[in-house]
Amino acid sequence: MRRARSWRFPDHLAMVLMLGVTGQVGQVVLLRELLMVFHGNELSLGVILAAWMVWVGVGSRLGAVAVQRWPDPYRLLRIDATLVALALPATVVAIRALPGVIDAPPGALPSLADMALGSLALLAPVTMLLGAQFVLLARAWRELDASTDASGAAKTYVGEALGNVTGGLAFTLLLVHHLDAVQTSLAIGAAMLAVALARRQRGAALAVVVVALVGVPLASHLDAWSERLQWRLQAPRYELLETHRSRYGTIAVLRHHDQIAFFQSGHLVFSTGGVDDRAVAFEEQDAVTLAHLVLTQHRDPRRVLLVGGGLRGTLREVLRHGVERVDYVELDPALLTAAAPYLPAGTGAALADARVRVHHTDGRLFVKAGGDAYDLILVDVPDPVTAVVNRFYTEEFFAEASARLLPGGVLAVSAVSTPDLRGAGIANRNATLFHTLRRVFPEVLAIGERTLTLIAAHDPDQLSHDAAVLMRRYLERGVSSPGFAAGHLALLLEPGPLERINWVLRHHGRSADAHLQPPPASPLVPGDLARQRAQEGELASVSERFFVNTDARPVGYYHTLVFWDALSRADAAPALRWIARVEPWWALPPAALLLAAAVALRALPRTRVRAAPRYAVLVAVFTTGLSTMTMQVALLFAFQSIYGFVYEMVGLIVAIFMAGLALGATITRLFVPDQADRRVLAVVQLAVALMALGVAVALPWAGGLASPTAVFVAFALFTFVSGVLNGADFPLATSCFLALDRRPERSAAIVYTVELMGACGGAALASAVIAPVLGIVACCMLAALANATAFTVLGVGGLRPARIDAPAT
Amino acid sequence: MHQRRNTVSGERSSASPTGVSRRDVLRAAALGACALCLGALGPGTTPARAQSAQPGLIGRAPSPWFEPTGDGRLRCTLCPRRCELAEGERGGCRVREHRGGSGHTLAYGNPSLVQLDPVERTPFFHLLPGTRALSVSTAGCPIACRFCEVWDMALVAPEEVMAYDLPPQALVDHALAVGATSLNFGFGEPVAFFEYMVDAAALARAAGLRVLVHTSGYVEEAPLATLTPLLDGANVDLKSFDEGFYRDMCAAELAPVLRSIRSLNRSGVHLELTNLLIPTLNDDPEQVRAMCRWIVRELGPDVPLHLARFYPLYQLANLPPTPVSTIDRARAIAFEEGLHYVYVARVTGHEGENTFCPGCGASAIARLGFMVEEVALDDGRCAECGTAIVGSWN
Repeated sequence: MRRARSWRFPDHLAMVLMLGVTGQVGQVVLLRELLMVFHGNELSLGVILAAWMVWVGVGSRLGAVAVQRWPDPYRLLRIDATLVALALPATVVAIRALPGVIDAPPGALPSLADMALGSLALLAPVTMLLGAQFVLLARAWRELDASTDASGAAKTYVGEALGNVTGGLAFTLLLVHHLDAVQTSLAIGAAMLAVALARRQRGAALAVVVVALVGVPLASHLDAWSERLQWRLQAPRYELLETHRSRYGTIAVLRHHDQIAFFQSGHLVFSTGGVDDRAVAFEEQDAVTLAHLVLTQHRDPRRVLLVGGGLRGTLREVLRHGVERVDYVELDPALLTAAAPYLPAGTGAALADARVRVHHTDGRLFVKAGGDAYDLILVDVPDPVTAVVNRFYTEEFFAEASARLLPGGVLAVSAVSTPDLRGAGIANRNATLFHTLRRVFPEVLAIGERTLTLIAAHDPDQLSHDAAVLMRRYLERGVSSPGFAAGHLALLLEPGPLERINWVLRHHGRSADAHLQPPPASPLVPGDLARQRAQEGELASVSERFFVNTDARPVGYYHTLVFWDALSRADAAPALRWIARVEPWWALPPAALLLAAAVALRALPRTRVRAAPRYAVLVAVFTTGLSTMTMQVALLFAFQSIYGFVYEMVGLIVAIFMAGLALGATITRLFVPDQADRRVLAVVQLAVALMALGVAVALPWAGGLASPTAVFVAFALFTFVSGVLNGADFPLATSCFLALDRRPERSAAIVYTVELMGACGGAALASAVIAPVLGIVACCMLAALANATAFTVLGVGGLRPARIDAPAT
Repeated sequence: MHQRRNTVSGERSSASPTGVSRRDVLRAAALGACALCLGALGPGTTPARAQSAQPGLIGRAPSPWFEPTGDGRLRCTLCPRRCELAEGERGGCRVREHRGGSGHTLAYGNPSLVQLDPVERTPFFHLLPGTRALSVSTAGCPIACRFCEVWDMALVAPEEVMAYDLPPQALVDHALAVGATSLNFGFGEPVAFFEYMVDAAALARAAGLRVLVHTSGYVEEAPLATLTPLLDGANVDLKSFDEGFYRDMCAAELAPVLRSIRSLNRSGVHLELTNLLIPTLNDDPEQVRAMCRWIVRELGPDVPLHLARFYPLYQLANLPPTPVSTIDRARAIAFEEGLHYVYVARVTGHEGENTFCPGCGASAIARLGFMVEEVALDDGRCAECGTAIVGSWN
């Protein structure tokens, strides 16, 4: 029931928008800070986001309790905003001090427990305050409307979504380029406080603005101090020279003696140093060795594509082989800017060499886009620790790269390894890379112990493991590289380790449960590579499910997670092994349980009237949160693989989702006469299920689209529809629940919390379990099943519309 | 012994600043071919059951290095951890167990690592240069270094890895079959498979093989005393000269390691030391100086010291590699303190890979990584000035 409209539109709406802006910017800033400490991978991202959602849910419940007790929501909002303004920058500083609490030596990966406890402890204040604000704003909006229904929550939901979009854009386009983390959090917090005060205390609001204008520039000192503190704790005796802000993650430049080390998002990217060419070559020996090992595999490399790694010395060494042209793809221009003052003279000269063209774009997109062909493609990117990096190790990428090779061309990738691969995680991962390459290239040669280099070609005579052949090529080209000699090649190709590693990779992954078993060890005398190759026909076929890494099933980063677990001693191995056993039918028992509970509640006289329909509504809310997040993960993974990781485009996809969300909620508000009608909610569940099924069918089709524009349009459409349905769900669910619960703020808080829990579960399930192990299409199928279940549960719980009683307060 | 008389200076090719010439190409190729031939000898003579590894192979054998505590438990007396184990419990090394009232090792005859390498890789620079050693190791380790290179073998239980069924005699037979000159217990931690090592070492000595060990030295005095007479050479990892480092980074202690080093040196076993320099954790110049002083004072200046470069790995995967200048500085300190043979490891092509005569400074052995390029020794003496170079050359 809507009546009075006596409120001033901009004041309140500005507060709602600021909640979205602050939530979005705060999340990005704190996420980036935590990743610096946690050396992020997909699991750490999941842990941080889970902690965020849990506390927002708790905060919204506390907000509902508070507004029951102290009925002036604006007063509570001012208090809340004041606390947010203080807590945001304080949290940034606290995160930077976290390495002093975590029991990990310099360079060590924090454990899963450290990450979970750290995230939960440090994110609690800000996120609970933001969660509470949602309910307070919903209540205030309802009072302004003099309404008794759930429209306040629905409108706040839409406004917050719009604020999220605004915040995301503001951060990407503006804040990250001009303000550091403390300044950003201070500015955003102050803006939120000023807006909250502006309604009734304009003088105070003005004072906040003045203080912010003076304080934000000064806050750079606090930022610099806290950054130094962080690195002093994280890497004692390293000197922090400077940091650079990049939208891909903060870059830190550190010095120890004459060595300069570069970290991005807490990950060691590369190090360089030394006072002369020879010292530099020793310092960068890994990159130098990789370059010469790979370049000598081609008889006459003239055109080379280098994806990543150029700054660590690879580019400089590639040019020593008399190549005609090198296309060097480096995603982040900020990395080049940060490194420029510290690069050895040889690397600087290589970047300025007329034969070199530097491209700041996604390597995957560059390879897919077509154009020039190459004799050699060297992919020198980090290990597949995230889904984004994993795109450089999939069958589809290898096929795209293969299409860019000239006849006789060679592709090389490398990854961290261990001698003879005795650990399951690392053996599974590296065998997966080997077998995935073999799907595209008949010839794959594996070399190395600490670092595994996989060199692939189509021509059986192209690759050589004969050191003499490679040494002759090296010498005949007249290559002169300080710190490297032809004899290095003989060391790298020493028969013992070479035969063992190729044997292990070739034999591993050839049974359905190979990923759960200790990796095989070579016989005491494994035999030369020609013999191994000849005997391969006698082996069982490779288990595709766990040993072929594809865009649709990025199992490579799942294996890397297991490897990370072994390194960090996170003790998550049993859980991770359990994930590997997941089968599609495992989704059925939980769905059946949900249904059984609905039937039971419906059957009992005491619960059939209120509890059964309430339960049904919450199931619908939870499953929509879950399936929306699952679909988001699936769509983002697929988009990044098929289109390429372009920050703006990925941001745009997220913005399109939010816009759909806002539209869905608005349409519902405007065009659904009785939002408490559970039949409408049921129809939305069915629509989500059908849409998820549709996306499951359409995703493989979208993968075949050649035009990047068509890909973008297709994904934008999927995402938008998903957003619209999700947006429609929230106001309907809130109204349905309110009709049964009669307390508007409590209802909003419960629905909001349950949806967040669903989203949290969906994000974790999709990114850590379903996508890598069962595949991206399975994420869509899970979403379809979840909402189909919700549809049925609503049917069982009763669909008759309930009359909205007057609110309890 | 392939000892050749060569002049040293001025031989390096101007084509490559590191001095590898076309002749080196042929030599390296010959080395590879030689290794292939040696490898090919194996299948006919190695026991068939050892050819393939088996998952989780347990090598259970009674151990004499347990004593009762008086309360039903057994105390393991092999390493300074001195674990006290109730029935069914396993020690911190993951391979020693109290079962049925007596103490057992689970690492007897079940190596996970069996590989033929140049002896320089094991790493011994003053023992039979250019020969090959068969290296052996099992799962398990009494300490837990955060920078362990073989963590997926040493820091796991035998159930978790593949292992070969190679009792001591079969191991020695295999070493002979593949043409090894030495049997090296290393790459993992030999203290973990002490009983197996002792039995195999005795057989190896009887068969004419040299017996080498590369160890953390984290072992009690009594067991070490039983092993020492069977050894020809020992390389001990002196991981740091700081108790705090051993405690925090290795879950161990420094004092027992120093005691083992002293004991090995006193017994006349050829001794080399390896110190992995990890940036900011154990590379303080004063600490390096103190370590070198201790070596010179307690062991003498002729003990070769390998200063190894750290690369990011295992739990320290996010720590940059050791700056080469740090290693150069440490090497200079070691020479200043009077050590005669100081090497740089894992910086391939560094001049610190070579052996220089402490008398005249001439290059006595030139190496590239673990590949020997030139040997300029005359009956164990510098070819230039006749100074005796410590080691076993024949």
